[in-house]
Amino acid sequence: MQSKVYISGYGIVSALGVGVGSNLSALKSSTGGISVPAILHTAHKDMPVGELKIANAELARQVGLTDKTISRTALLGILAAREAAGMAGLTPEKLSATALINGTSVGGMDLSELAYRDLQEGKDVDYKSSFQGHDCGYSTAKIADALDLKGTLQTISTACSSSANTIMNAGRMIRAGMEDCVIAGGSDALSLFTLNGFNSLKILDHTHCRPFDVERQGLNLGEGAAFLVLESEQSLHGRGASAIAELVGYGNANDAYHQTASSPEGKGALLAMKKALKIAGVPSDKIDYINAHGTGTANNDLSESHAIREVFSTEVPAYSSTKAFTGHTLAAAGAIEAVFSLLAIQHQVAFPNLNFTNPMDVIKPPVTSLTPMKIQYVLSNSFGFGGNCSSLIFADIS
Amino acid sequence: MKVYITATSAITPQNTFDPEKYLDNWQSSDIPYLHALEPEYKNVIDPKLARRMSRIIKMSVATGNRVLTESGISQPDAIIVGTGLGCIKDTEKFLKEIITEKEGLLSPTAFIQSTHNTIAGQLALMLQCPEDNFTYVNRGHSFENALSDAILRVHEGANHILLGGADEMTPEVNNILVKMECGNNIPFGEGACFFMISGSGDETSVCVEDVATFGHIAPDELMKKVDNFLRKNDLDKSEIDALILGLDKKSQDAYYQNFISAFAVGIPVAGFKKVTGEYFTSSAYAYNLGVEMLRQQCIFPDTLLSGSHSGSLHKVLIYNHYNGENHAISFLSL
Repeated sequence: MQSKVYISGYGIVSALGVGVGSNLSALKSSTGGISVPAILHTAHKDMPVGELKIANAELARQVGLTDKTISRTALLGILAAREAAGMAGLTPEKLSATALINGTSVGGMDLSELAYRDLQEGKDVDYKSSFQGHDCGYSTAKIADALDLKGTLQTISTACSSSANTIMNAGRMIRAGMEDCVIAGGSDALSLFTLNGFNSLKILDHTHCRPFDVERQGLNLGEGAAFLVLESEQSLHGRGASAIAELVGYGNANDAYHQTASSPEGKGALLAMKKALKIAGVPSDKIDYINAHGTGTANNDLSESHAIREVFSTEVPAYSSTKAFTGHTLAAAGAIEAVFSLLAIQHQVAFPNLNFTNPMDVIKPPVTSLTPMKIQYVLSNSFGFGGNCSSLIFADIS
Repeated sequence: MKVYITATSAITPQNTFDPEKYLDNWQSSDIPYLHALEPEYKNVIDPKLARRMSRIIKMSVATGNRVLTESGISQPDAIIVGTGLGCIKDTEKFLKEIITEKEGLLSPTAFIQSTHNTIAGQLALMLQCPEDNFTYVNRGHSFENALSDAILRVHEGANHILLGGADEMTPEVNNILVKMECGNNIPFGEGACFFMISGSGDETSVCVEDVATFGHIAPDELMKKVDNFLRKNDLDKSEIDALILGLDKKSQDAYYQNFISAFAVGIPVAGFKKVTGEYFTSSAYAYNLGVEMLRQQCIFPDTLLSGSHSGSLHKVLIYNHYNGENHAISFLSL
C-alpha cells in the first residue's frame, strides 16, 4: 500500500501581498494585484504587471539577510517556504531531514541581467556577486540555507508548469517511500528578460487581463512564490501533526505541438488531466472546482477550454482562473494556484475569475464572484512552453 | 534500485560521438575553453529542423536520436533532461537585444528558444512523445536530479526513459565564469550525453547499481560517505576495478585525493573532465565513459591519470564534485 500524501502547511507571496492572510483577503474581496511596475525598472512603464510592491532591500530585511546580492527570486522563495514550514510546525530537527523541490524559470536573472547590461555598457562589475545567482539552482540552495534544510534538493524548470511539477514530484517521492517530508513549490521574480520576452511574443495584455473572455488580449506577467509542505502519514503521526488536505492526483504530459503554442484541441492538457484523475482514482464528475491555467492569451484559454470540455463533457464543474489577481507568475504559478486550491477547500469557496464579460463558445462561463460551495476535490492546471502540461488534484479530508 | 543503461551517446570536446573513433585522435583546444567536437549534423538531424536549433539543442537531439536508434526504442515512457545553464546562447542573445534595442521592438526567436526546457520539449516534439517530460536545473546536481527521476520512474513501472545531460558554453559565459573563479582549476567545457535507462538489460547493458548525492561537506567528511555507500551496496574496496573521477589532471584537490587514497595503491583512475572540461552537467559524461570502459574492457589511455589496469573490468565507481557543493558517487557494473 502506497503512502498517502498529505499537505500540512503552505506559504505564499504574490502581488496580493506577503503571506496567506493578505492573499486570502484579496481573493475574498475580489481585489486584484495588477498595477504598473514600480520595483522593476523597465521602459514598459505602463505595462500592467502583478508586482509585489516591496523592494529587495526590504525583502532581505524581512527574511533577516544582510546580503545585498541575493536575487529577488530567492528572497520571495525564502518568505514563502518559511511561512509553509511555520504553518506545518516543522521543528529544526525535522527541517534538517526535509527535502526541498523548487521550481523556477527566471532564477537569479533579475540581478544578472542588470550586471550583464553594465558589462555591455563597459562598466565594472563584481563578477562573483553579480552572476553567482544566475542559474536556477542558486535560489534552491539559498532557500535550503535559510531554512537549514539538509535533505535532498531538486530544482525543476519546465517553464510555467515548473512548480506544479515540484508538487507532483513530492507526491511521487512520498508514495515511493523515498522521502517522508518535502517542501515543494516555486518562485519567480519579474525581470526585464521575461517582460520583454512575452512582449516580443505579443501576448501581453496592455490592460488588465481577461482570462476566458471571448475578447481576451493576452496575459499580465506577475511574480511571486509559494511552497507546500507535503508529508507521509507516518511523518505526520510521528510528530503529532495534522493535515490540511491531501494530494490525491497528479499528471504530466507533453503537448508535442509547438515550442510555445498549445495545440488547438489541448492534447497535452487533456492527457495531463486524465492522468491526474487516473492516479487519484476519482471519476471526473467528482471534481467540484477547477483552478484553470487561464492565462488570458487567445491560444491558452481556447486550448484549455477544449481540453476541459473533452474531459468533463456536459458536466463542466465550476472553474476560474485566478491570474487576473496575481498575473502569470510563470514557474511559481503552479504552487501559487495550489495554495489557492487549498484555500478553496478550507473555506469551501470558488474564487472569482476577474474581468470577465463575454463567454467563449466552448464551455460554460467561469465563476465570476466569490461562490460558496461544497468543494471535495479541486483540479489545478499548469501549462507551459515546451509543451509541458501538468495537473494536480487536491482533496478535502476534514 | 538498479537500472540499466541500454544505450548511450555523447558529444564532447573529444571524439566520442562516432563509436568507431571513440577517444581517438586527441584534440587540443586553441580557445580558452573546451569546445565540443560536433559531428556533421545532416546525417543525424533533418537539416530543415537543424537550421533553427541552437548548438545545445543540436548536440542533444543528435545524441538523443542516436540513443533511440541504438536501443531500438522509438517511444520512451518519459524524456528527462538535466542542464545547469540551459539554452544560455539564446539567453545571451535575447538579453543583448533587450539592451541594444533599449527594450524596443524585439524578435521573439531567441526568447522562445531560451527556456531551460527547450531541449526536452524539442525532443518530445520531434518524437511526438506525449509522455512525462521533465527538466532539472540544479547546479552540479542537474544531471543527478534527472537520473534519480529516471530511477524512480523504473520503480514506478516505466520501462524505458530517455535521459540526458547537456550544457553549452559561449566565449562570453566562459569569460564571466573565469572571472567568478568557480572552475576548480579545470577549464570550462560543454557537451551533451544521452542514455536509454531501462528496468532490465542484456549482456551489453551497464547496470547503475546505486547513486548517492550530497551537498556541501568538508574533504575529511567524504570518506564516511564513501564507506556508507560501499556498505549499503555490500561492496569491498578491493572489488572496485577502476575509479572515474571529475578530474582533468593529477590534482591536489583534497576531495579526490582522499577518495583515491581509500582504494588500493595503483587502482586505475580515469579523469573524465580531461574529455569534457568543467560544467554543471559534465558528470553525465562519466556514465558514458563508464559504459564504454566496461563494454570495451579497457581504460582509454588519454583519460588515465594514475594507476594501471590488468585483468577484467566489472565494477567501477564514479565520483564527482562541483565546487565542493554538489557531490555524487555512483556504482556501475557489467
